[in-house]
Amino acid sequence: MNRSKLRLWIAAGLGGTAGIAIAIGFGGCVEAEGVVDTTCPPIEDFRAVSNVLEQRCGTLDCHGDDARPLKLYGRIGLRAQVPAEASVDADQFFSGGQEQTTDFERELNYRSICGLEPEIMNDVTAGEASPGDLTLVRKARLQERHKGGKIWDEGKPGDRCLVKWLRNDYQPGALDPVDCNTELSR
Amino acid sequence: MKPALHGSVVRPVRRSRLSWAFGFALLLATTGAFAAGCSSPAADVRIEQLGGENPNVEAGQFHRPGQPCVLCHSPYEGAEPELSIGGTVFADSTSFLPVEGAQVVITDTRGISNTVVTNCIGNFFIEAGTWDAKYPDPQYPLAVDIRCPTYDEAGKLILDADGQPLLRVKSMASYISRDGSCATCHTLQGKGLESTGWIFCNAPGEVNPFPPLSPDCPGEPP
Repeated sequence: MNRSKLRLWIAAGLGGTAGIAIAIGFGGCVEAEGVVDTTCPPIEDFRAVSNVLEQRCGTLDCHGDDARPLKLYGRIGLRAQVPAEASVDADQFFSGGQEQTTDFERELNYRSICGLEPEIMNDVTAGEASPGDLTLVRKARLQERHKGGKIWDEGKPGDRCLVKWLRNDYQPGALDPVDCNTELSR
Repeated sequence: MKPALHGSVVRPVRRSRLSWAFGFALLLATTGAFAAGCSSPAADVRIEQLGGENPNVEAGQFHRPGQPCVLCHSPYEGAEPELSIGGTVFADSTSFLPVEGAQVVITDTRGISNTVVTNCIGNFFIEAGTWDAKYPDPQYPLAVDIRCPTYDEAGKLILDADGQPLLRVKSMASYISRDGSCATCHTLQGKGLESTGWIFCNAPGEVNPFPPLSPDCPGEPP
């Protein structure tokens, strides 16, 4: 191959690289396609799951951060807003304060989890997909890149707590929280 | 035979040269695009909010108490030395009186512990790559407790039977999940919906009169 042909090939390669980079850049700007209705496992059984996620994932330097797609509220992390109830001690309603996670904060956590991958969550709830298909489950197991590292191994109490809730194969309000409680006691 | 080259000779630009120019321009554009993609607007905003250096304090281990150290002392911002962990210990939740001589015990998920001691402005830090001979950096999550020196009502340091400072232990209620800057969560804005407040030794009402800042200390409180 003579030098001018070699240069042509190099130039074409560089041009191609730039084209791919530009295509990737524009690829991130896809418009949303309307609203997706999501079904999610029962909120009645979410309290124990939320307790675990708050403790293991919801610190302020991790998912207790206002800017995170999976945003978790709770007593030790991000707080939502001081409740209006007179029974709440406003002086203790801060991150790490004595006031417990409120029902409102728990519902925000529920929405955050259910809305993360709504289509897959629909399939999981309907029994048409495995909980392990959810990024939420895979990241905690470090089966997918996760800056917070491995939260638990597959099959360990924390994992079972989350996966059992996601399987949705129980009567609402009847999920045994034993695995969640075991994880919290570690 | 090739003609001799002369400065005044005008030659047509060959296709290969055009290709080179085109390729070089695209290379620059691509490099620029990737470089721009590597900036973090979120980090940039936070760094900007910290403001400039205190003109009375030299940049070093006594500067910027209570600020998120690793935000700048990181590969991203490049401040030297690079830090794994850094923070500041104050006396109580109502003042920025620094605590000197507090021990900060940090344990990673491998079970490796390191203890660092606060300097006269209350700052402590662990340089990146120095965590352990086998593991240069801690593996998150981290558990932390601080061991605060204690003083009697006359302001005298209390010693134990071995003549060592008697320390009062305070443990963090939660883990550090991923951020080596203590002040990311323990902000100088105090406790709130997004902050646990700055790190302090004395609980409200607790009598442990820490001495005032030493006039020899090169740092200044926030």
